[in-house]
Amino acid sequence: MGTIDSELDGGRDLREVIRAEFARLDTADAELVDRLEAQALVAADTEPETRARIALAVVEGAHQIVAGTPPATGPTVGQLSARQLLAAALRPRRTTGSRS
Amino acid sequence: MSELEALPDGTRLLHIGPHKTGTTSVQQAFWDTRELLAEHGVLWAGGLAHPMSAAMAAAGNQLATGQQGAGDERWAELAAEVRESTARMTVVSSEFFSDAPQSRVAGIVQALGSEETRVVITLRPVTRILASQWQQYMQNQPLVKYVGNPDYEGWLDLVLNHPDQHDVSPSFWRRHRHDRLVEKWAEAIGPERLVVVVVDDARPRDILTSFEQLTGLPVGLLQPREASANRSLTLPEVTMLRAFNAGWTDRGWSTADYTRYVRFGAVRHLMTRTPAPGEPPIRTPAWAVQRANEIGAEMAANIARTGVRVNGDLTLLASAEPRSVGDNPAVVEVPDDVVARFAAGLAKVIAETPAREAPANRRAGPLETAVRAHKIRRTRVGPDARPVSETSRWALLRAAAGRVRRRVRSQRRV
Repeated sequence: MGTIDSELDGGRDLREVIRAEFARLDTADAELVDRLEAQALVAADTEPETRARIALAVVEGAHQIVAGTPPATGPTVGQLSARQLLAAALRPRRTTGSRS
Repeated sequence: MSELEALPDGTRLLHIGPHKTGTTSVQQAFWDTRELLAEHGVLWAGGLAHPMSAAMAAAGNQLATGQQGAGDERWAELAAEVRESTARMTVVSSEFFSDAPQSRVAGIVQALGSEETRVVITLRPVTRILASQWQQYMQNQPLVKYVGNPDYEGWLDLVLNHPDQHDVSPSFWRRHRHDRLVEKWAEAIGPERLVVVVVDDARPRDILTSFEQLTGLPVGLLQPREASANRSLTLPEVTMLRAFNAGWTDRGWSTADYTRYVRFGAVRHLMTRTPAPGEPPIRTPAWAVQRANEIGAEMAANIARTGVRVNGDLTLLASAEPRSVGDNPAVVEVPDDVVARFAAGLAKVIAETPAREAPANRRAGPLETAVRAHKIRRTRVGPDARPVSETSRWALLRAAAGRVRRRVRSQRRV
């Protein structure tokens, strides 16, 4: 007892289940949830054989996000024009965008 | 089960568990009925469904998220409330009192009122406790002594065949060597003031009836809650959790963060999941059932010798079978929604961390402290200074609309 079945496919279906579970969450901080969901989805892509890694990736992601390091390169809201902001809002993201 | 005589008026009823003996159902039933209890002269002390931190402090323990001394304050408040109570019957219940060493038992009784205190111990056959207690340890694994990370079968071997070892969950027999528990408390309070209630899983309402009779409440007043809220983890769930715990420990993450985000966060969120029909439970092998019943027979005989009042059938301690007997599979299939629900639960509790410093009576772990600081920083940064990548679609659209409005206004002025 104790070994996780490695024969399960960890591909698209698992990511759909993760998206569905995160979409059910109702929290005020949707931005942080979105970013943690992205971490879980990346782990689902790369480590399908060890499912606990998906949950560990969420905690690792939280550590990185709050470590005070600058976020991914890119402009701030104040630096963009209305047209650029609109484009950024409509650009597809890695997550479902259900809370955006 | 025979009818129990009500305890004398003025009694302080101290229910000490131990763990996994129906304590949650008792606590929830009293808590849910607390507004009606006064009509019957009964006070549920502690102001919570379960005064856990107070009881832990009384037993000399504390939560990983508790500041030194905070639990002691809760215990002092609880004890004072009980001592000063003028209710016909005052009830305190926590399984964490059962963790108290001999040296603390008399002090607990004295703090509540030596003359008026009566102790109730609920007991359940060890065969029915094993799987439940093991999966509970796994929900707290980075905090409990668990050298070598044995699986359920390995843990059973250590606990049942090597009961004197101290490397793996040494608290098990402190809690569940029920004869010694009864002897310890009977010695402090006198056997005539201790009642043992044997819990029969086949008659789940009986435990509430026993408490109604002891406290003089009308039978049927206490209502059980839905059992699913306090269910045990299934085999796939606990298998995933153990792998997660190993990763947590390997990374050196803090036990305080584990307590907040995993034990009282993601695991509870995972419990909201309804296991699929046929999802395997944790099975207890037949050899372990037999060994546990041998120990149970010893315990029943020793308890009978103490002279305490026993409500229920003591022989159950030596003859009951767990719900699921047999061998567990070597390889466990973990359904997608197990890890997805658990991961989402982690995200939820992390995201719900408040944007303020932790209260002074709590010990926040490094992650919680950093999340709080991050959120405080974010609330101080104006929306224009936020990176686009950290801003929601809705906020970007609002910012774009604001730009358009400002431009229109400035053009009108021209």
